[in-house]
Amino acid sequence: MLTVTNLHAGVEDKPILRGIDLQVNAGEVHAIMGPNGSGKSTFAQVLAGKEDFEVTDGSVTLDGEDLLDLEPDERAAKGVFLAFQYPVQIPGVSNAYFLRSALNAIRKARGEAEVDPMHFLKALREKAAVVGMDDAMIQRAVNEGFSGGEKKRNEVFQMMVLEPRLCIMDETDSGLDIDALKIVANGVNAMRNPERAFVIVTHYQRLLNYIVPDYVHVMVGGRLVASGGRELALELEEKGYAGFEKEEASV
Amino acid sequence: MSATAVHEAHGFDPMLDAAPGWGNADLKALRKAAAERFAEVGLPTLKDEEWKYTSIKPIAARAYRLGGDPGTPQALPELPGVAARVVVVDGVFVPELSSLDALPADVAVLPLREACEHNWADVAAHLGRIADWEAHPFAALNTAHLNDGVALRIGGGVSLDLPVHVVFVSTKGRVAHSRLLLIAGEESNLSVIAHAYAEEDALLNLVEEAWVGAHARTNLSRIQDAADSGALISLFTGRVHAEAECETVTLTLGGGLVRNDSGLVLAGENIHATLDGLYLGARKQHVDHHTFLDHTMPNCNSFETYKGILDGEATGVFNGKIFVRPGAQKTDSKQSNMNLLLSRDATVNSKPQLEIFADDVRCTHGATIGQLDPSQIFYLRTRGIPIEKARQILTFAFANDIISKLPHEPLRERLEEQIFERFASSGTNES
Repeated sequence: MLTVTNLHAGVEDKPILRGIDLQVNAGEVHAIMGPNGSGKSTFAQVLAGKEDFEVTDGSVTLDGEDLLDLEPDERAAKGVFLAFQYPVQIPGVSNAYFLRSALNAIRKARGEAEVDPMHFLKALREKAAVVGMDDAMIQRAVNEGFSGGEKKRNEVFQMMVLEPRLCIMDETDSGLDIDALKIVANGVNAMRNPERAFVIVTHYQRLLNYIVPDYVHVMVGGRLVASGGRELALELEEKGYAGFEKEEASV
Repeated sequence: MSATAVHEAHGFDPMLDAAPGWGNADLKALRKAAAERFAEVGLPTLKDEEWKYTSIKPIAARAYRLGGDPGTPQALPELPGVAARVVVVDGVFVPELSSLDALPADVAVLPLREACEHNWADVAAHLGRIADWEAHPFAALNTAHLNDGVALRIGGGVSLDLPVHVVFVSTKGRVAHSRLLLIAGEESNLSVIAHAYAEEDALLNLVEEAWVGAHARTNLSRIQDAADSGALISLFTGRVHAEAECETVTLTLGGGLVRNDSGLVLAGENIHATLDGLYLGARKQHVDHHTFLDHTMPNCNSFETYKGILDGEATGVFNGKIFVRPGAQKTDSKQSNMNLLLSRDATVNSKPQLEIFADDVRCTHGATIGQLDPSQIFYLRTRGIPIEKARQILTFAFANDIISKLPHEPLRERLEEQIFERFASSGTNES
């Protein structure tokens, strides 16, 4: 589904991603772990199309189509979704209106008809319930006055409503207590299916106890320096990133 | 330019000789005093502190047609769910365009001329005595020309569930000195929607006065607009008495030259007052709002939010005065002015002006000028919303904060739609 080849990106003259190669197939869950400043979040944002980062080399394709050539909203229409590390507040725009606009924009881009408002609201309520959000939160302005945990739940809620094929989750576990973490993981696990893939960026192993990945990659210095199965995450939990950082420094 | 020269060149002749005063000596004296005042001060220039950012050259450079039978408006706003509709074209009440039949007996709408002829004591008592025309040259000019307009009176203790819709239009090429006098009796409950529109090459010079009795609840929604070659100058003053609730919302949709002075004098204790506004400007439009909240008595609160959205090469002005007079203790007043600039060539001048002469008060103010937040735009785009739509949604959300304060649902929904559509093409110098 997603093929990343020799991806280099940075801000102005400062390189952050320095040659990433990654293959993600439908149905897979990939975790990307790494110390602070390793480029994990940059990678997630580059995939979503954040213009602050300049791609200087390499390619990213989604089902063979050049993703880097597409605007962020075009990527969303192709099924790419980024759950933000720091979700943005949108005062004056209710969650319900926001999601209906988003879903209709995506459907329009795909040549599909707009959603029926009544059915949409019903589906919205059902999905909100999975992540413990009530009607009031659906009608509230997007993320305005939300606690850190509520914002993260709202990201997963949006993901459930928009039903993307490629879900990129940027530190979705940060700032969550254990109960909220379980709620978020439940939402994600309910979405796992053979057609959908996940790229989960996280600093800690903790989330991976609840969302069990197929593959774990370690990012250091803008490169994936190690890849393996779930056991790699447990190893990191035990030994930390120090060993990998030393390796990277000696390269 | 001297006042006399302006009169001669641009049809601002007060026509005092033709002013009958409708048999009312007080009115005749009022007009004469206003005419003398205008002759003394003339039209304002940029040297006047109050007109520092607003040049009225586009007005002074035009020859307007004054007087005669009212013209035919190109369009008139119509609203469902109103108690009455009152249409004033080129300064003259037009009964054929108005519908007053559904009004209950204790709510009266009269052309000012008739009200004066009938010697309504309260009209004589309040007309020209609420708005400070001495300090406002255009209001002096308006008062000097006082020829017609509308008086709207609701009796004490009377509640009118539906709003009264008043429409002021200045038709193409005309100057109209229009006038509204609202008298809300004690413990009455009244809401008024006042539309004001200046067509192409027209000047609408409007003075609106409201007398709000003790314990009354009054809501005034003012919708203003003018053609790009039109001008709209207005002064609204409400005089509010003890324990009353007075809410005002002013929406200015645009106009070649708009100057709007709006304010409330809080003349009793325990008043709750709101003064909110939204002003939009595009192309080369100029939209100036001066507001005032005059706390003369203790224990009142006033809340003011004005928001501006300027696009193209439009300029916006906001000046918000709050006076707290000696003795007006326990005043609680909050003012905020927020501006959104959608293009690089749009400008806004914002100035809060607080004059506080009491020591036990709470007065806050804040002003911001900014652009749409790129991180918000990106967030919407990652959810599939194209950039133009994202800008439209965010711009509308900024405006909707004020639009949502309009209590009349059909009006609010119409404006929501109209303003949302308008922002579909915002953010470019061509719009």
